[in-house]
Amino acid sequence: MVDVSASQTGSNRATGDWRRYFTFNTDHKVIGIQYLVTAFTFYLIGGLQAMIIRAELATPEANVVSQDAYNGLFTLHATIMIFLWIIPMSAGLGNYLVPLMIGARDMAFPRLNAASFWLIPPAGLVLLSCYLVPSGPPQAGWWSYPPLSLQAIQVGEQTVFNYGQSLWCIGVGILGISSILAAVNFIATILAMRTEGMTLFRMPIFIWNTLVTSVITLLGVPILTAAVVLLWSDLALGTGFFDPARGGDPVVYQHMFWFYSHPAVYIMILPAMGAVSEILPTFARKPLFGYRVVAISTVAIGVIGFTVWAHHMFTSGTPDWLRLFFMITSMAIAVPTGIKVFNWVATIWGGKLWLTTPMLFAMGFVGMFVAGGVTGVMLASVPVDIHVSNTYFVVAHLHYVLFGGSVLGLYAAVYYWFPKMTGRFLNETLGKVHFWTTIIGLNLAFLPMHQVGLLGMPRRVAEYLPQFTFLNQIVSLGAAVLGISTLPFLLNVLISWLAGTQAESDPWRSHGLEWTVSSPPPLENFGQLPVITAGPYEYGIVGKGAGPEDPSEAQTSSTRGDT
Amino acid sequence: MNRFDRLPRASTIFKVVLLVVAVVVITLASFLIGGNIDWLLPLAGSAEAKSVDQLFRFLAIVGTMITLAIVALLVYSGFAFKRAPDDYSDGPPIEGSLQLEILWTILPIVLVTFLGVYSYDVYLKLIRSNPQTGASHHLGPQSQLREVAQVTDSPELGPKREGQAELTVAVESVQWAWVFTYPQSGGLTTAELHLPVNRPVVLKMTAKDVIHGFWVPEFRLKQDIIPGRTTEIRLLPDRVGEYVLHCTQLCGTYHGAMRATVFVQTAAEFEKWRTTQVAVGGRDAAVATVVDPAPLLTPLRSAQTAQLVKHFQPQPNRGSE
Repeated sequence: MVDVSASQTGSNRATGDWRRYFTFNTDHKVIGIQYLVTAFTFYLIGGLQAMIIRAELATPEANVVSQDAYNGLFTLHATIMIFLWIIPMSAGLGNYLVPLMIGARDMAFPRLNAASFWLIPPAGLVLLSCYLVPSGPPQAGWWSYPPLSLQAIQVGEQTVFNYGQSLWCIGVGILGISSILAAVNFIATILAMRTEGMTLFRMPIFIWNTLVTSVITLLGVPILTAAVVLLWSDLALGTGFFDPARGGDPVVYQHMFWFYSHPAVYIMILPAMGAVSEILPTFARKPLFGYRVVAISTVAIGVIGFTVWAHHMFTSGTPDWLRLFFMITSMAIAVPTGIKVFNWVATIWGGKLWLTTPMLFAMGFVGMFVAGGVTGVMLASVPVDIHVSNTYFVVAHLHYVLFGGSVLGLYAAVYYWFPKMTGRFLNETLGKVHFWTTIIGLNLAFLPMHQVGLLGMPRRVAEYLPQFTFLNQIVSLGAAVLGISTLPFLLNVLISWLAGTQAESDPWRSHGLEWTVSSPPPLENFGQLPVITAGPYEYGIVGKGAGPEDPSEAQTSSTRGDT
Repeated sequence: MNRFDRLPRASTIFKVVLLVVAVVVITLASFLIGGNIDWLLPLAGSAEAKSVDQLFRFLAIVGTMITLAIVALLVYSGFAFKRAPDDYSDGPPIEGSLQLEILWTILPIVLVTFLGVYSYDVYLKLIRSNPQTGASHHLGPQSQLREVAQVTDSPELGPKREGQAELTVAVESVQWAWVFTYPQSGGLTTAELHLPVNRPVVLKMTAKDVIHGFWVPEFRLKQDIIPGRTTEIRLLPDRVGEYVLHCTQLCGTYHGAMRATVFVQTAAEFEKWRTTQVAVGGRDAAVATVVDPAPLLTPLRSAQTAQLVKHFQPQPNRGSE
């Protein structure tokens, strides 16, 4: 075990000092919080962009912002939500939880850990600084397909170099390096630093998911980084890797981009799946149904996930055999995913459900994720995909998976582990308001998108045919509800962090190792490293009871989470 | 023992009724969507669209059923298994079930295998007249793939039309407009796409600057047009009407407005339109007449670049029909 002394942590500030969050601190818990807060800040920026996008689409004409500004908005919305919200948010949870869950005192490489976090704020600022350059933000979508991404930008009468796209390449490149460093760290920590008795098949599912996510990151991100470097070289140095006017092939870029960016979908969903797999057993008071099967399905998703990327290119320059091959693999990935869903439902079934906010979000995750998964299978079918590819049907699908899936899972995780991180509960009333407005808003916003896409509205358009107006207005209304739904959460976090109900070390009566230490955990987590003798979900086997206030148990004055 | 003991309890009856109602409602809802896919899809306008719609209908029914079933199970659990306020015990310590795991591994495998075979079959119908080589020259000569069957070769696409020559239209996409050229009509160039109904059409598509996408929702066909290649789409429009052609690959500022009108007309009307257009010259002075336009390829920047990407060559001109 790596012993982290105070001198190694880089900062000797006391654990209660808020200023350590602004330093190059090497405590994984500090870095975890840094990740979470930074990612959430970018989520608010990306969300505001979504609000402007939906305001623009409330009418068929382009009248709220200019077409160029609109293209910049959805390009940055997607880039921020993927690279600066969901991925770092998941990394933040992993940072905070992995050492606590496996019985380690810190991550394997604490300084590398801090370095991988501190690459993110500058990268985010580089991306956002595109609003300050003459050419404005990048306008080629988050795919940045050449040759469009290589084109100079027309500003008034002048043609200027595409600085925005350059900044995008640099920002994404830095974020890629950050991801790779974090992935190396997670893999090393999980494989080498588990405490005595923590065998692979005693690891919590969240750890399994973080491990698989990190392996995917390690194998996939270098390809994206290479693609972005080559793209930048075409853009700024005049090479011709992807530019057909210089003998390059844009389809090669598409392959490189999607070789990472499809597995990236699993990078974004697996940590949320892991969190949900912790939360459902806790609040159903039952062991996770089919623990081994869920763990193996996670690995299967990671493996098959690398064989499906070209389904994003069914209407691109791809031959028939390739389309059919990727159709089969893309459908195959529905099998391990479906197995997970069935196991989650079986976990809930017959339990003693304690319907707290984290449980509601976790159950919402399962339902919404299925809706997104089903349309995913439809998209895998080549003949159907040829019709719906690049339409709002795809936008609906990806938002059900990434918002209804990842984001609900991440919210569930925040509500669940907030007491551990801060020693205080989030308010349950505000939490339930947050949950229901989110569920209503997301279905209002994303369900009609299926229809409008099938009927013929392409994605990434600032203007559309007048017959799609009504459906788009419902979508915009839903988006507004979603925007508002963030406010109770924001309020809740701010108030509860300062003055929320105090939480004991194990407020939800969970069985995970992280609940055996105080809330918030002490520096170096464990005085004496624990020895593991059983799996992480022994609910009903090693009795702890469903409620936090079992009068028959201790006389300790623990406080309830649900007010 | 009195005979009422053998009667099911009220709660059991309630559960059975609830289950039956849920199954009926979910099934009805799914078939309601499947039976009314014209809510979701525009009317089919090409022979190719019919089998795609059948496949979509099937996927929509199965997909709706699965989603509603899982959501129903979750909602039911939320009510049925909610903890009583004074119940501090755990749930039953069930850790899994091998039989169930096998069941719900095999069920999705069977389902996706069926979907895979079904989709494969539908796609084969599409590509009989419409093979996509992906312009993969580096894979060597692909003469078999290049031998494109007649659109009418496929029995699913309607009766054979003897003596009906294919109509070739060159489709040129630029930021942010569509230009259509009819090489069989002396290079007639228009900004609208006119097609005769029930006559096989070959669209030879090129992009001048960036990637564009050809999509007429009613035809259910979509194809990216990549600069430097000539990409073909073959179809058989089989319903008279006025449709909209959308660009579906982000192509810059006015991507959303890059549309064109598509008229599918009876043979007589099409002929009338064609002769009128040819008679009045039909040439927009602003647009050069291009017959099977050569892909955009400016001279290579350097020999090194050419070496690096030597597998990529411009597609040979097929010559005009």
